[in-house]
Amino acid sequence: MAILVGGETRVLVQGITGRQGSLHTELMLKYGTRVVAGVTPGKGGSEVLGVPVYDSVAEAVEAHPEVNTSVVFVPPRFAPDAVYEAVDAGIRLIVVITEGIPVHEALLMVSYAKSKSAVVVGPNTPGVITPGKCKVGIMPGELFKPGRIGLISRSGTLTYEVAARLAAAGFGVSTAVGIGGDPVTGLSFWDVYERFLEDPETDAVVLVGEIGGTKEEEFAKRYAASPGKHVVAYIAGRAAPPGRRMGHAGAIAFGATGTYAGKVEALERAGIPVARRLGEVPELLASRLKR
Amino acid sequence: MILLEFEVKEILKQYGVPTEAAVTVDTTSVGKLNELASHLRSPLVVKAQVRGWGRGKAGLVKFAETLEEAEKLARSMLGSPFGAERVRYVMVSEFVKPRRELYLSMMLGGDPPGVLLLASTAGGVSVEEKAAGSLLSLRLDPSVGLRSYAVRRVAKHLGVSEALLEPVLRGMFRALWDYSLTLLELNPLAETEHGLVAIDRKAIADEDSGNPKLASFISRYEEELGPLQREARKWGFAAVQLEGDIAVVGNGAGLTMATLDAVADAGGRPGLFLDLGGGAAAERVKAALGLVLAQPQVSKILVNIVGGITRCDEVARGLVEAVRERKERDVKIVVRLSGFMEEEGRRILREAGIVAYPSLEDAVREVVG
Repeated sequence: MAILVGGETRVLVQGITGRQGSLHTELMLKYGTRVVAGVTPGKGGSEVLGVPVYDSVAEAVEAHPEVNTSVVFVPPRFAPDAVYEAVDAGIRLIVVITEGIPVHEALLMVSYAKSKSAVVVGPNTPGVITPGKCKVGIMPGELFKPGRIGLISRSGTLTYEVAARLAAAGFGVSTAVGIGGDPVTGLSFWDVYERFLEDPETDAVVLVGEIGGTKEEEFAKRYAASPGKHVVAYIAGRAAPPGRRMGHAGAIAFGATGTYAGKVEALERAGIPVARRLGEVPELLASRLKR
Repeated sequence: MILLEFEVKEILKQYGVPTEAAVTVDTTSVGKLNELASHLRSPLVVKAQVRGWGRGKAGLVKFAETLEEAEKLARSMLGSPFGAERVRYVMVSEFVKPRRELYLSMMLGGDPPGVLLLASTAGGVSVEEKAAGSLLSLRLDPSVGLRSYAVRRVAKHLGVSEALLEPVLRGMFRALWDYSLTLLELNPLAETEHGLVAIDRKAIADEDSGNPKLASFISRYEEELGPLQREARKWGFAAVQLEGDIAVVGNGAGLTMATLDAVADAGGRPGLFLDLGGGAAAERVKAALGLVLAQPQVSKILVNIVGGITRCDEVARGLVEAVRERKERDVKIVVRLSGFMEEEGRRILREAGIVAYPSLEDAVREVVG
């Protein structure tokens, strides 16, 4: 069963006729994901790789009531609208790939979704993958081997790197969730961890964080209060200078907030070992699982 | 984008948050400080305007008794380095004697996401160390906003009257939304005989917001950018200049940071951080490498690519072209390719005499060497 996405997932692609939307629709279909419909306003009635396109989410959902997940490839200016539309059409899992959505807009959009019990993954996420079963996003599926480790990350390519290292060490992944690289995201590390906690197919969790914000610290605080499954962490940005934005909008440490040292201290105090180097991630995991 | 203190002061003023009397000068106006600041009463505080934290410790906040003295200090600060930036503006303020130094900030974030309001009675430069015990943290839900009960809680925690605090908090909250600020920090917020005065302030604005109110701040920021930053912005790369000699180029923010860490961990000194972003085609890679090669302090380059959306063969083609055009530069290039089309990418590089390593560790060892 894993978490969030699996065999029962039926996907709607918002922005399906765009360059990214059509490319990844193709790659998702190849992976075995059941993409059943797409939306691009004004392009209703057409098809992308055999997937019917509708003008609105409401029409798509009416024609395909089995849709339970949406993935958004809409440019930043229009992406919040796409998310509201999906929520209002009753979709309860919305994966927002788009990077560059204004943070305040993201906050309002994510809060609205939450108030309607819809889950927003992202924005600025590579998506969610349950290896071998379903991927909703842009990650290279072949790097993820099926297995029993849950992976939660703020990053894209770094997640692929970690997944590949896990695979090389004989660990597969139950589900990998990119929560997104923006300061405000729909899911926190804890939100995802809680789902892994209830998932009998997940034995332990790898958390991939980075400098900036307080997401890792918030996770550490809650984990310390009620641990559960083993968690091993890696934090990127140890050598990054303070006060500079390191690529992601959320990756900036200022004053004492969001620093590498602060995050490591918080995690370790909560009993979560932090790998200093990427190569240590599978080692730490192996030593935890042996106990 | 971290705003300059005087920019934040301008914003706060509009929203009725009390600030001290001050004048901001640059190299062209520093000579006229005597006229411009004649209304200021001494003692004075002279503060370099920087886009970062820790200027006090860097010796960029000084006290002056006279305007002549302030001018001398301002001149010595203008053009001086602070991290990678040069001081372009100096603020000369009336010194405000605080009875107590408080701390107030609002930022976007938290779990569930909202506006996080932090308040502490331990303001001042080292608030981070002192504040832990006395820090009040409130999450304001965007659908609720800033309500009176929250104002009352903060007032009680800080031991100040609600009447004094309310306009400060309301002003901050409105500024946060109107100016697309992801952080607004008053530290310290001085409690004086005449009420509360925000005597130092910082803010981070969301550059992606497209908010027209930020236009003048963004253009000021862009003026400060060197050719590297300007070019990087044009292409949509994230570039950060560092102090060493090894340029680190990667596809994706997290991966590039992790690569930077690995280089530093192995004893190398990173001189440049460049995130290509996703789906980098040959043309973009070529442009990025061209940028890196134009940096005189860079003598080695580590390119770390994990293919997915990005095709390793495309990256290889871009790399080879960039190197071909810049033959005169004697720079060591080490490449790590992994993922989508890596074999083909490695072949292209091999033909051009560039070795591509499959593992990050080997590539790092080679470049640090």
